[in-house]
Amino acid sequence: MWQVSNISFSYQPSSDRPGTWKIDDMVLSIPEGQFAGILGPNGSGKTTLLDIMAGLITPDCGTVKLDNRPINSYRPKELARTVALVPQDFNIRFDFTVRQVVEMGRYPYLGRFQDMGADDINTIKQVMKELDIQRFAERPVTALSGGERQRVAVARALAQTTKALILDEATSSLDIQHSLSIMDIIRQKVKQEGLTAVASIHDINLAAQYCDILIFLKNGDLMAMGNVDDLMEESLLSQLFDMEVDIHFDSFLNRKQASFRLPGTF
Amino acid sequence: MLRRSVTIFILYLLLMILMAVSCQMGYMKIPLQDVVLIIMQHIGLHDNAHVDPASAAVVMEIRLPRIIGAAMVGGALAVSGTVFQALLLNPLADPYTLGISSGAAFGACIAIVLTLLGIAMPQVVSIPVLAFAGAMASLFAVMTLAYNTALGGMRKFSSTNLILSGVIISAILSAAIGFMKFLADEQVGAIIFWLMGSFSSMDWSQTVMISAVSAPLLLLISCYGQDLNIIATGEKNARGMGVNVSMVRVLLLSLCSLWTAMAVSISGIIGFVGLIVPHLLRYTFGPDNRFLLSAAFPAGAMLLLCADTLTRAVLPAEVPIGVLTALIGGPFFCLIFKRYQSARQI
Repeated sequence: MWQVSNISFSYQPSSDRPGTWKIDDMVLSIPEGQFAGILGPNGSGKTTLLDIMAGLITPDCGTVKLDNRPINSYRPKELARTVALVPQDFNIRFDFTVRQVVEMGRYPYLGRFQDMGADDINTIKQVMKELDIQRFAERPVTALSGGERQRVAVARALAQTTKALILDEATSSLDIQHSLSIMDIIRQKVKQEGLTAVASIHDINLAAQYCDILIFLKNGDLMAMGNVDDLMEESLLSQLFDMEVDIHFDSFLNRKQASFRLPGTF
Repeated sequence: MLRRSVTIFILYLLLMILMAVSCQMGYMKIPLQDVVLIIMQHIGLHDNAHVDPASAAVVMEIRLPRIIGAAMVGGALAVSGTVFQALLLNPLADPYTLGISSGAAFGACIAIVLTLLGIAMPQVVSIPVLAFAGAMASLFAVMTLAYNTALGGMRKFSSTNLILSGVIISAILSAAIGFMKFLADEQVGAIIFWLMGSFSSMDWSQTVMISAVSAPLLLLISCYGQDLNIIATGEKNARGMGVNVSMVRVLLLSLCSLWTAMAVSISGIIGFVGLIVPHLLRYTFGPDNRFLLSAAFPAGAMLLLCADTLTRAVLPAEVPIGVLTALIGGPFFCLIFKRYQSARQI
């Protein structure tokens, strides 16, 4: 789905922030129908990479291909019909209702003078049902809890009915039940409908539980990329997070999981 | 959808009724049926009416241009306020608090002073043109001042920064206007009279000008309701959903500055209409800009027309309309500020 070749990106230096490379000469590709998790310490370039993959920022050099086409050759609405984005926090200042917010997801399919048709209304209905938010469809988003609001954000992205989905720490601020339920919905979409999803995730065990592929970033470099089972490996993880790591097989989840400790503690 | 269309229809109907009622009020009382007859006669629907020619002159030459002008200016300010609030994610934004009105006033003052200094230019052209230039320049200055580079690659304008920048730019501009007054010397009256905001000297040329500008601008801006809704949920979201944020922002900010400048150039600075109307509408009907943009025009028109009729026909002496709206709108601004502050949204 994505071919990222030799991209570099730095923020413009300014008086209060020296110019540093956020992404340095990175190459990676993400095949279709896979759920990829991006992991790395804070400041490793996860959000920058996702913004580049979403076409929100243009790398200083290198190319990004989405669905075999250069990402900068897409028109804005066309791009929004191909890839959708769930942001880290979804704070809306105006009290739109949940339904109005989800309906915004149909924007890339509608002309300026066009109203939603039966297809659009069906899509909205189905997405709201999948995320179990139809109960509060008429409530203002400003009155929802964090977990509910994030489900609305996912619903809006899914209403774009794209082949690719990007989640930028979409579950970081949620409790365990809400995180799992969002990850589970994404995984179902990947398995059943061939969606390609890329998510930056802080919790390595959550990523190991749900993702097919892991991508490790450190200081703007791609440290490792591969199948979950190959990357859940003690030396790699300890290098990534600078901590002591123990990997064990969790028979309850049927997955490898990791435990961490600071060197010399416990 | 139907309910919204009906609401907008009712708002326009109310505006028509209000205009007719306002026409009969004033120093010379003219019965409502005479007002209707006079107008029908002038647009050729009725040709042998027996009405007093003095009444006809008062309605057609004095009251009607002023009433239509006040309505157009009110509508322009209200729609601009709605756009600014959605575009800048800022509940306190309006042409007045962002310093755009002051910029337009500064431009218009230059035009007036140039005429006074004998550099001849027809004021019908020079005032609107220089007002627009002033509005765009002050908008640019406020945005540059409020733009916070420390907030990362995405353009971010914090609410407080925008208002503070608006205040700073307004303060500089009012000093500059003061300097203009000084330059104008004995003829300073021309500026003061115009600056305080008044519709008392409206004539048809100004009314036609603002109407001709308003109709296409309203239609064009109304097409961007859903874009504004999505932008109001954050720039990153909006770009991810295929909204061409920079194009929409530049287009709508320029159109609204143009519209504000036209309004300011015929009426002087009239504050707070662009702040109050969107708030009342949003409070009553919800935040959907597709509806708000269509409703703001008749609602703003009614508000300013009421205020102008109040000062023209009800109050014992004619208070400048800009003073009146600031006296009513200022406390309202405080109320909104307090409310959003307690909700920690600023």
